[in-house]
Amino acid sequence: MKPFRLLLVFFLAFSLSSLPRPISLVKISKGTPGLIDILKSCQIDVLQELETCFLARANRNELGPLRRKGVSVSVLDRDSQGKEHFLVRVVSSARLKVLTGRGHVQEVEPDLFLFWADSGDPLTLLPPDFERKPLPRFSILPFLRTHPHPDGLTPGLQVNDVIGTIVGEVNRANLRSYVQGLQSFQTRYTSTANCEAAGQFILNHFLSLGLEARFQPFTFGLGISTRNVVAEIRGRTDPEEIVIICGHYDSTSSERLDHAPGADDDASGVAAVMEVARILAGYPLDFTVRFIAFSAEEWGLYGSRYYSDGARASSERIIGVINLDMISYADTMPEDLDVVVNTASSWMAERTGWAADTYTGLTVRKSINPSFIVSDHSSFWDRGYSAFCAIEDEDYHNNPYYHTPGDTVDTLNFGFFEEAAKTALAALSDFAQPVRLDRPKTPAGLVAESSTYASAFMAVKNVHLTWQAVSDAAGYNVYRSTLPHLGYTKLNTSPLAAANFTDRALKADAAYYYVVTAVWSGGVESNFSREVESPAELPRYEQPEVGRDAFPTIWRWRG
Amino acid sequence: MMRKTIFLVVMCLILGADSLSGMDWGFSAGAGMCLLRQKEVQDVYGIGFPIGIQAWTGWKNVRISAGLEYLSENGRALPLDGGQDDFPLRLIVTSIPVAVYYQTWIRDIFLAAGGGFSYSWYKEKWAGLDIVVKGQKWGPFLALMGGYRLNRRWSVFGNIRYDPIPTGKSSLLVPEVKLGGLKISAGVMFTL
Repeated sequence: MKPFRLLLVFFLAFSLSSLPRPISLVKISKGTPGLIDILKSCQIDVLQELETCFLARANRNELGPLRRKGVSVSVLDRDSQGKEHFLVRVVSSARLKVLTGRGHVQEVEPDLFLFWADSGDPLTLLPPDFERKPLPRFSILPFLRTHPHPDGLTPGLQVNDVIGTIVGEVNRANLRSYVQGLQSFQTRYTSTANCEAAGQFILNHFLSLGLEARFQPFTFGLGISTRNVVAEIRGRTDPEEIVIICGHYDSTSSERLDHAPGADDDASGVAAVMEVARILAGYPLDFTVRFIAFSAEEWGLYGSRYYSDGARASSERIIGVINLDMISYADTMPEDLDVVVNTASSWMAERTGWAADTYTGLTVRKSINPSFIVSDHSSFWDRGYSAFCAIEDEDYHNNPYYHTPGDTVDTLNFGFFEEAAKTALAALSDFAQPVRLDRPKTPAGLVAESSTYASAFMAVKNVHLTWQAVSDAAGYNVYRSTLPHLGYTKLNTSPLAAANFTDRALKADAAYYYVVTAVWSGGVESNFSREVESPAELPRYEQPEVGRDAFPTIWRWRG
Repeated sequence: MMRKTIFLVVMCLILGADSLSGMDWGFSAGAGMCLLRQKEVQDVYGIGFPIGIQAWTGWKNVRISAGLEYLSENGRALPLDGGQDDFPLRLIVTSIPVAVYYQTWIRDIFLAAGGGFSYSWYKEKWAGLDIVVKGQKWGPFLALMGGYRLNRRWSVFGNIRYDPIPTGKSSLLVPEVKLGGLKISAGVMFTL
């Protein structure tokens, strides 16, 4: 009988151990050196980066190795499968009480909470006046990298006199008129007919400028249908390189169904996008510019999420996204413009600061804050694209009319608004590069191919660059940086005759970024080409199938 | 400091052995080939051809030896993703092996088995580039030796040694680079 019992116990233990393990939603604190490499080696499904932590999905088997490597992990929801989780910003204990009555709430960071419900639609359980973001459905692990900080770097950028002219065309009266026009819909709360009418108003504006423009319809939550508005100026040199400027045209307030003027939030951002489109419609650009007015931002960034998912699925090459959200209220003067980025997008803040200094009179305050997630730029961060949010104050509650029926055009500061629009236009033009007719054409089709060579101890790589020849060019210059879109230094001492170049013997495990220019015989230089990257990822050495070692295993020293 | 210590140890072994009655001592010189233990490293440098000299002393069935070995190899960096460029490399490994053998004689033939430690200095240089990797480390080895006495003073010998020469350094090719492997050598031995 005893052996039978033993067998039974063994069988039960085996059955229990082979049961599927629940997938938990966990908080992984930052601070462990080399954390991103650890997350990659453990293949953790990271869903969200925040300032102090990552939120991830993992089962018990995956958490063990993480903890053994010294990573601090805490479980937020033990069994997260089949549930939708929202990050919700809550700034008072009274508001927190409202939330706790509706579902599960866990603090993730100060003022930032995770909300979910065991049953029912969390989107309907979540009170509509809470700022929220649904957690991404896909892992952001492939996009996570350790980025060098660009602070204090020589920009190594080109001043383009056309941008000065372009920026001078921003018209304050137009901005006021666009905001007034959007406010006149009474409410633009997504799900109302007025919101759809406001979308039509924006589309008509883009079409009147002669731009390619269209609606991008989508459905979210329990079948709410709405649409983004997308317009485009196609680039002349490398049209597959895309720069996006966007705002959200939906609004909300305590009287959201009838009265949500949303002048600052975010008619101001959309008005700036409309004005920028009006101006740039008259200028040829090297790269494609998309003007987007998103819907359903106030519901939880659904419009930008739909758009960015599609962009990633079709492998669109988005250089960067400028999200304008609340850029017209000034609580103090002189007001500066806050540019909020995540680590991967810090180059955009640096370049926008540089563009503001070069082409406008506004001061830009740069802030690296991955926890600033309650606007549309965050959807692009989740899909691995560089993006920033331009906002009057990172603490947007400085506007006392925020999400109230009092957010009207007469509360705005149009002096600051004009400067903010100019700064956005300067940054956008700097990224998209107006074509300069008094200079050589910008070289198109730059491609980088890396070849890695390994010795017993070290590895180096050669980066081979090719581009399309420019017909009237006397030569070419090649520039390299160790940061994206910043800090270029010229590699050649005299212009190169051929449309190719090999940069030899570089560190194999470092990323390098390249642009090229065409040069006329007098030294006049074109715009930078599109940037290409030689990534830091190292190839694997493919060993021959047979004879892994020079002699049999018995000879291998295992000590 | 380390070199001086090793030199002193070797001299003490030789002189100390000489002071004992009934002990043989002598010198040997040899050359051979080294099948590098790691296939990846062998792909870079091919088969190595080390040369070496040794001082030894023997008493009854025990043989103690200490020596100096030198391996200089030219190689080529491996293209990992189809590159066509050529990066010549040079690897130099200098070792001081110290070993204890158990030996037995069958007429003029002797057979010995033993082991010890070697202290190795290594340097890898990329020709034309400012890249040099240097280091030094202790490592164990095992050896088998056989020889034939030609006359009272001269013998010929063959030696098989497993000497992995660990470096403690990781690389793109292997988790820990090991510059040694199976060394097969032959040479002559002179008995004083």
